[in-house]
Amino acid sequence: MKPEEVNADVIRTLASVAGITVPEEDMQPLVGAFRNHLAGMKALEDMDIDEADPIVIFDPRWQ
Amino acid sequence: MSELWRLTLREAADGLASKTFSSEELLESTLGRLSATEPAVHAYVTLMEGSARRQAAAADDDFRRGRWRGPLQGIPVGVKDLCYTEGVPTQAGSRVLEGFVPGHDATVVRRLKEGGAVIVGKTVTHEFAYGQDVPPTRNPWNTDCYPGGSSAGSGVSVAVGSAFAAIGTDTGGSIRIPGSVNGVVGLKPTYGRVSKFGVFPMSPTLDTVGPLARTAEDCALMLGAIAGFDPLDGGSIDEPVQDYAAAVRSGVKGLRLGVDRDFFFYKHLSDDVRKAAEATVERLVELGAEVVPVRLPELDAVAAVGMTILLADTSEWHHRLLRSHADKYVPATRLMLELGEIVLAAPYVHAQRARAALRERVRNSFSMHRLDCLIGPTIPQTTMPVEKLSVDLTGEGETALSMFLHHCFMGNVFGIPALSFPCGFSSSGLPIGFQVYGRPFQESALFRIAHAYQQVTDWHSRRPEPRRQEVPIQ
Repeated sequence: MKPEEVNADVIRTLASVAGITVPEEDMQPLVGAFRNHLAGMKALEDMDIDEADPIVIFDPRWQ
Repeated sequence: MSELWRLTLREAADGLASKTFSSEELLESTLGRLSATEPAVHAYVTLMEGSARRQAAAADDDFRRGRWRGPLQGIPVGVKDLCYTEGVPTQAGSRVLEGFVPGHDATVVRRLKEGGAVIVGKTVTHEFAYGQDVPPTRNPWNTDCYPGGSSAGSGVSVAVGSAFAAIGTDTGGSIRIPGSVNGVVGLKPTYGRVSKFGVFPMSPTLDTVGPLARTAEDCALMLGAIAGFDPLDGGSIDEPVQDYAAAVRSGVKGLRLGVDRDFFFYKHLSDDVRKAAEATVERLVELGAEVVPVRLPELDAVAAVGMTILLADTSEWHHRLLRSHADKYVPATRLMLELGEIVLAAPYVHAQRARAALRERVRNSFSMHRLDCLIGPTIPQTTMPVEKLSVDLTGEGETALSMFLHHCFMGNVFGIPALSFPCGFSSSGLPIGFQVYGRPFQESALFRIAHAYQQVTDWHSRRPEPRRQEVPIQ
């Protein structure tokens, strides 16, 4: 989904799936915050990172 | 009131060891300073005066008997209210935990006690360390201003002298930011270096526990006391603990320090911060360090990676509480928890993949340029009036929080150590911090740099005199 496509209905649907009730006062701020999150993820999707496996156990040492 | 509170931790430890003064006298001075400054700065949420007096008396008894537990013996310290303290309220700055009294100590608290430290009290934190609310704590250099966070009380207590050092936690800069804006030294250790058992979590792979103190040497003494493997913490790493305090005097000659100007000296830097940071780079060169220009474009993606992981991880821990106590969170914290609830799984895993890839590229850059450290300003600006503080992540553009994360998040995302130390003051008298990132488990290199710098500057020895004014508590 593109960030600009996020609206209150999208948030309500996601919140419903997650099982939380979002107060009306939080709705517009959540729309903005979720758009920012998606925009950040879009930048990551454009990166070439196929060489790496996702971190599932974190060990900071440089092996 | 005696002026013993003005000593550094090292000076206080030496004075205790030589029986120049007692721990009880040191504590009296610290409590006197606390009484004088608390009405203005509100660094503490819970005072532990009774147990502190008993610990000070026990430390003095140990000194008399020739028993030495370590350099913290008899030293008054503060502990962030995110850390469990047996029999003492621990509320993480939240009404959600009202009345919670842990039955055991966090490992870091246990190690402080085993080292003979005197715990003055619990220091103020943002609610669950999320940095979304404004705590009652105020900046001692200007009490209209933000004290940093989330280890706000820890930074302020050290700055004003109501503790010789304090424990903080850092998931995206929460030790280094209060270190920077309050004019003290703050260390975010390597992930797994200090146990986080018994500390309320945000993210199991981003969270770290570390010290704030007035000098690099004091920070080194603190780290030596609290570092080490802990089987109770699933993220703890079994690596040898170095003699950090001995290493501080090794100087900077031969160290190679990378500067990514595009990243750390970017457009949002204030003129005062830029000037102070540039002067610090020059001073480190004069001291014998080799400064190497580098460009690490992967750093630009760190904030997006870190936020995705942080949001989902934190909401996972709060899963039940959000459903049972939503009305007790401050609205901004609740909003972030709701946001974390709707972060999807695939992007979360993608962020963890990007994290692995970016970390490998940064490691390669360190190798290719033979770097010991990366250096730059801790945060792009000095502190700001509380009413101008913006941590809102719901709109476009830079906020204080997004600027903090830009400079600080890589330490957590890559798990590497980072140290902030004072490097000057703005034209309006507010402290400026300088940050050094190192290789994993190479905290000694960071201490060497900051200590060498502090031998030729006096920024770290200046103490604020906060105006006495009542600050409304939320």
